[in-house]
Amino acid sequence: MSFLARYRNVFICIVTLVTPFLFLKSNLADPAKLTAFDRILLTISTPVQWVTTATAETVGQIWSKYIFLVNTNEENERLRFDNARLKAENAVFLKTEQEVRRLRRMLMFKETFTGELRASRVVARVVGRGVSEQFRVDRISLDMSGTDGLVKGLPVVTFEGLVGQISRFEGGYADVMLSADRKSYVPVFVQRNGAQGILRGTGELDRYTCEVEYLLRSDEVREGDQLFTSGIGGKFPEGILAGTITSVRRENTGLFQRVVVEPAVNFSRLREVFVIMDSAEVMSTVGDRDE
Amino acid sequence: MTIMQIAGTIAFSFLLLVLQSTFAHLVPWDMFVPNAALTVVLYMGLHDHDVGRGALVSFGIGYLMDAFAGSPIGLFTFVSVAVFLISKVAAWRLFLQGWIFEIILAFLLALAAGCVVLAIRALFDQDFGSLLSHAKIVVWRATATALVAPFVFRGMKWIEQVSARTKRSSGRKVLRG
Repeated sequence: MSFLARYRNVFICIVTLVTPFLFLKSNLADPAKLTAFDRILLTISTPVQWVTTATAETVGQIWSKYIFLVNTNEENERLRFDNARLKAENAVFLKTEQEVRRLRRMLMFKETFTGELRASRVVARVVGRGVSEQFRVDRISLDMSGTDGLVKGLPVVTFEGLVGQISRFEGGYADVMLSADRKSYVPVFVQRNGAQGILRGTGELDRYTCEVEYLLRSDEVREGDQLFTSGIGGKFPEGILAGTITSVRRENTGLFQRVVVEPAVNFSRLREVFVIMDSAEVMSTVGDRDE
Repeated sequence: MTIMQIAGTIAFSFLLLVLQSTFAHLVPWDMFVPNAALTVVLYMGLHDHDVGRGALVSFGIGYLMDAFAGSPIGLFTFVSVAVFLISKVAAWRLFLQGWIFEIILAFLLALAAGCVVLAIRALFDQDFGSLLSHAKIVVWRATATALVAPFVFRGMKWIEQVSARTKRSSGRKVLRG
């Protein structure tokens, strides 16, 4: 038996004990005090160490991500519950955010609207809607409890524009006739050229539309022109956006042209409106009636 | 110890380390995490007749322990080989039979391994504050290791039986051929 074969086990034991000790010494040594031997050991050990550690980490990750899924079902249930709860909360927040945005716009409208009307406007909440067979709102009801001085014909507006006028009031509630109603007449002018006419609702059941009556054929109007209340007659204050022209048709005969208008307000989405309380025409009419 | 047995032992140790690192955070009391791979080394020391081969396998297992533990390379490698040699000496001196002896020996050797780790740290780190806190853990870890030792020993026996059966069947095929 050769010397190497005879002392093989002793040799292996010494090497396997001394080698890690030397590696450990080099690894824990102060980098400033590394000897050439330490550097050689580190150069040898670093790539091997990197491969081993990376393998161990990869296997560990595979195990914990794909095999060891003890609490996953429970966690999924909890996350599903959390998700449902957060969705519900989010829906509430979204609704609140929309309300805040709407109220902010109303506030801005109230502050920017011209002088004398500022103090005479009352905010009213929409509490009821009359709906047509085609699911179009044809009438709205307002909660006006605590508001004095209500009369028929008071203009109703939002920050978007003209809504209509009070048609009836009783017991703290008021009905509003919309500008798209067949019985609604509002004096308007075309912003671009000042052409004047009367905005009349068409009363269609499946859409919100108005027409401008008494607009002369010679008045050059086109699609996209905006119409504002003219203030003539004193019922509606001047300068409220009433709608936008969507089509213009000039017949070969006749004095006037047929102009279709989309109202400025989407009546289906109304939540709060302003009621203008001191419209001169209405007040004088009421005054006359009282006398 | 055949090549298959060596591969099986290292794979088994690897599995134990993966389990150990995965289950460690589930143990309510983190001091009570066993060092299961160390019991594999202990088993080899008690049952393997070839010292050189056992020392080399212990070296490999220790290296894996270092990789998983994220400790400075060489720490557990050294401890693993040292535990193997100590258990080898114990196997020469003691007649071990039954799981009670396995548990007692595993506890004593895990305690010794913990002490070796502390000694090496004291030698290189010289941070005696953290060493004291580690010293408290050593006893609990040794207890946990001793409790899992009988199960690991059964696993190692199973690997031995499987490799022996495979060796026999391949031997018969050679004879028939």
